[in-house]
Amino acid sequence: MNTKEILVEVVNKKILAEGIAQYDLMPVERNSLPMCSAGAHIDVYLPNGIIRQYSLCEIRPEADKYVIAVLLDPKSRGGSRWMHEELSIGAQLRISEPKNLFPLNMNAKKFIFLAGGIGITPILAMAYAVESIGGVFELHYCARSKKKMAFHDRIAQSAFKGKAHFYWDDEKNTRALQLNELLSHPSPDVHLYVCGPKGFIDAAVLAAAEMKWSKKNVHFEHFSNAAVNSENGGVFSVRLASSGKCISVGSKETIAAALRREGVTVPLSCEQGVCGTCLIPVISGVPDHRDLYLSDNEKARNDKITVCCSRSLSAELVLDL
Amino acid sequence: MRTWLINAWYVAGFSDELEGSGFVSRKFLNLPVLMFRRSSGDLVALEDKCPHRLLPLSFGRRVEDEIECGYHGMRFGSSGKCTLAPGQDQIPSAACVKTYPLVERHKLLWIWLGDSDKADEQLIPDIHWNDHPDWTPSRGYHYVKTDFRLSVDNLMDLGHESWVHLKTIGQKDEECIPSYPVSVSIENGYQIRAHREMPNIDAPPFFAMVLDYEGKINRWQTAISSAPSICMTDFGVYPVGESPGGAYRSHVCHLLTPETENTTHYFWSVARNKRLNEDRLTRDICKGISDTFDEDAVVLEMQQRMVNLYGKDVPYVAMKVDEAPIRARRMLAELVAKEMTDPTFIHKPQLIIEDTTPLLSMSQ
Repeated sequence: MNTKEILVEVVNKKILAEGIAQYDLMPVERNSLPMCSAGAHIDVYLPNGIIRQYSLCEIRPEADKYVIAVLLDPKSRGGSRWMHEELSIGAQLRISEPKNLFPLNMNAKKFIFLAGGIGITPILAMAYAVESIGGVFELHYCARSKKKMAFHDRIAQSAFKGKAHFYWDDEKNTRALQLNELLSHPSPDVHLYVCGPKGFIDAAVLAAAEMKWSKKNVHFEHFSNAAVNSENGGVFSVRLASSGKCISVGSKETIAAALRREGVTVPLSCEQGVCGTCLIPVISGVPDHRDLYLSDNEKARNDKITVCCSRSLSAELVLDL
Repeated sequence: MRTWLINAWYVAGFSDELEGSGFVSRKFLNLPVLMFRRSSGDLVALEDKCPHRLLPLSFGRRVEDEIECGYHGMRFGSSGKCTLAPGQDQIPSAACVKTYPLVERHKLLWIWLGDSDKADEQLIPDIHWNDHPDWTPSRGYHYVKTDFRLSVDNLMDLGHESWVHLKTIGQKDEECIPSYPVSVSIENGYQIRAHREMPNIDAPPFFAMVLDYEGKINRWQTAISSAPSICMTDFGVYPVGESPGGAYRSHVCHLLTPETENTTHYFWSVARNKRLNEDRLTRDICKGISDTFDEDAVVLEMQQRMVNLYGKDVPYVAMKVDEAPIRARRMLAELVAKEMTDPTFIHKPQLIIEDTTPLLSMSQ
């Protein structure tokens, strides 16, 4: 087990909204959890080998528990479905230490928070954080319907309820979010934080660019792949189909380097995912594609991997070597 | 393995090349072609090969709307049929030459060398910038002794500008082009785009000329590859502090047509959106671009010789700048494979670019 992994127990599970469940995770082998800041996420290592990233919805000064919220994806391949159907109170889970790839810029004089659907999770933690220091912000929260809106009542009853604005797609009488209007006054002191589905983020980033926001003031995180841009990533193993040999890949080494360390040479050329020389067929497991060679369709097939730079979303990858 | 699409429209030349009573002969996709405009104005493209002893018809002469072979005087009309065989009454029906669909669009000549029953004029790529009141083109032609795919590679990797084009469009040292991040995307199914923004740079000589401005500029460039062999460099430059909506913008259309596996016709049209009526500028741009493409040709032809000498494909070891070229090559290879395996497959080119100001992330 990776020493940075933490064993936690689900001490509370509740349904927050249609298709969204909250989990409170407390440490099993220690008294407190590592401290972190608003915008952080954890990796959750599911027993089926899948790794998923979930943002922390609140940052508790006492660091006694982590709170995450999980949206059930109807197309789930075992991540959110397993969380919803199998993970219940009392169960134990392995998680990573928190990482923050979406930190608040505390030099800002004002924050605009934009959340779409389940993207509320890091944004909620940010709203609490800025409120706690008396900072200036607005929160704009959009969802398909009120029924699908996690934390609605909690926000509506919070100390910052006057700064929160809700938008639903399915009610004709509610005002739609006017992005261009909302973003019409860019300033070096105002920072925008956006989280939600890709289309939502794209629309917000586009509107910000149209309204001449500086790129430095626009921050976003795709909910579905929060950790993809981290420098290297977690530990996993590759198994060679021919011999059954299992080789672990460290967080700071590439698959190719791990193979070479064990005496398995694969042809390499550019070593940065451009040329496709090191493509290896994948027999099982889910690659974390980081190359610039495969098309989106080829990546979705998950049957080949560039071992010079790509990694794994599953605990093990079986390679046709 | 064939490297080009056959069932596609290719640029065969500029319309004004067929003014007057002569003809133009060129080879495309290894096929020799003779083109002329009849006195009625209709365009004709014939296989440039006399069926008698295979002499190029272009060795002969044009007699009104017919072509006469320079060996034994056989004459052929615009339908390709032999109309005269000197010294004999009987004209063999096998004595005819193949014709190809040839169409004029946007002051360009477009030829279809594949199955003529598939030659749908709707499939002609839209290069309206070469003939549109909002744009003024500067045009030219280079004959490059290189595989057209090397030219596409070169146009999709603009990082080389800092070494090859310092005298014209490149920047050096800390402003060298590869240090500006490029974002590569696939649009409309079969177009590769590589977009790069260079804020607050010294204006390279060519841009200082077109802007008539010596200070710091913001510059964007988007390299677009539209299969099978047309590329565009869309660039915009504007003084720092001004709005990109007012940028001096150019659509540099690189209209490549393979002549053989190792030689390429490179027709180009550099359309600009500002100073439209300045003929002097039109000529200066022609000169500047021609000099720039001469610089490319030197590198490309040397590269082709080395590729032939060593029998290796390039990039041999890829660099980061090769992302877009490699994606464009893979896209083309996929289309060629489809054409070779599926007889009903026809590639439909999409509009290369909208003329609206692109969304830029660089600040003013």
